[in-house]
Amino acid sequence: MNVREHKIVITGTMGAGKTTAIRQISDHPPLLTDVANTRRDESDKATTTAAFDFGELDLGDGEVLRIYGTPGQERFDFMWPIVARGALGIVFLLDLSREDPVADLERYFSAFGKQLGETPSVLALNKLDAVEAAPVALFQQYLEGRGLSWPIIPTDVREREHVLDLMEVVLSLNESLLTEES
Amino acid sequence: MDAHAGELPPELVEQCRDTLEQAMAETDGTVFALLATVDGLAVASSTAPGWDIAAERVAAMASSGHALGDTLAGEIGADDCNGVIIPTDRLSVVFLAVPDVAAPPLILGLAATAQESLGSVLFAARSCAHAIRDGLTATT
Ligand SMILES: Nc1nc2c(ncn2[C@@H]2O[C@H](COP(=O)(O)OP(=O)(O)OP(=O)(O)O)[C@@H](O)[C@H]2O)c(=O)[nH]1
Ligand SMILES: [Mg+2]
Repeated sequence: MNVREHKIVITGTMGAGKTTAIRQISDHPPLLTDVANTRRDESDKATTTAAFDFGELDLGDGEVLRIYGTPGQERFDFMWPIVARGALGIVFLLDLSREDPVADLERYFSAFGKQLGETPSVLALNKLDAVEAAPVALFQQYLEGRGLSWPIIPTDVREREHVLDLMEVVLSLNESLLTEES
Repeated sequence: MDAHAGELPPELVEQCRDTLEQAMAETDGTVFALLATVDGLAVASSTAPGWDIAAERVAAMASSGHALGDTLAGEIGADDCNGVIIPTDRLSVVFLAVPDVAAPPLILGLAATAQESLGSVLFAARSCAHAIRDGLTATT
């Protein structure tokens, strides 16, 4: 059977949960490039991604998702276009526990500049426990201001079902692409 | 250098820089020496006159390269990656994990013109990594 692969990229700040998300849904232990984290002041966790994460999810019917995570820290921004090349969809994972998630998003927008209008994307709001309510309206307004109508999805990437839902939304944005050739 | 560079105290950073400079002085053709944390923060560096090398960026790339080396080594069934070697027509570039330093794990980088044999650059990098290790373990 001809296997068709679809590449999805998860990006976002350090500690947003990119590696966590990919761990939840990969069929086999994901390829991780986590190394000891010396910036515990930025994100208090033992390891951080230095190159990329990679996991695979078999969708059945000869469709396979290849899910890549970027390193979050900005000094690794040279990896971002490398990881994002050829992506069918991008998940911008926001960490609501950070001081200014809108500014974070802004930063990634400029980094992914060219790919933004062209690649179907979703905004995923993670770490909901850090806020009273998910500021969906705020981000809606922000996206509208840029002429973008992406889905905005509150999530908890520690939960497999949540991450699977995210992937489903990204794929649904590509429905036409997926059915086109079959 | 980055104020957070692995949280090594300034006198140790100074000592590491001296060791890098010594390695540069002792090895013909060296143009750049770097000590970085495994997560890509430059701790100390030294650049030969006439070369313009962004140590901060190289430190981050060395971290990614080393992490990829680890991934690749694991895939093939080897142990952890001890280093990454990048031979080019112009330069020989060697990155080595500094052995036996736990907190923070460090990567040493050394670049020399390609006139020098890769073996001699590797040898110099290894000696320098050991000198860094000895310096750090003597004081902690
Ligand atoms: N409180 C809380 N913690 C969460 C939530 N989702 C993820 N986390 C935690 O946040 C951390 C995320 O770490 P990683 O998955 O390594 O983050 P990353 O985005 O890969 O970070 P870098 O690779 O360093 O850029 C983990 O410790 C998760 O357990 C959440 O909804 N609430
Ligand atoms: Mg990660």
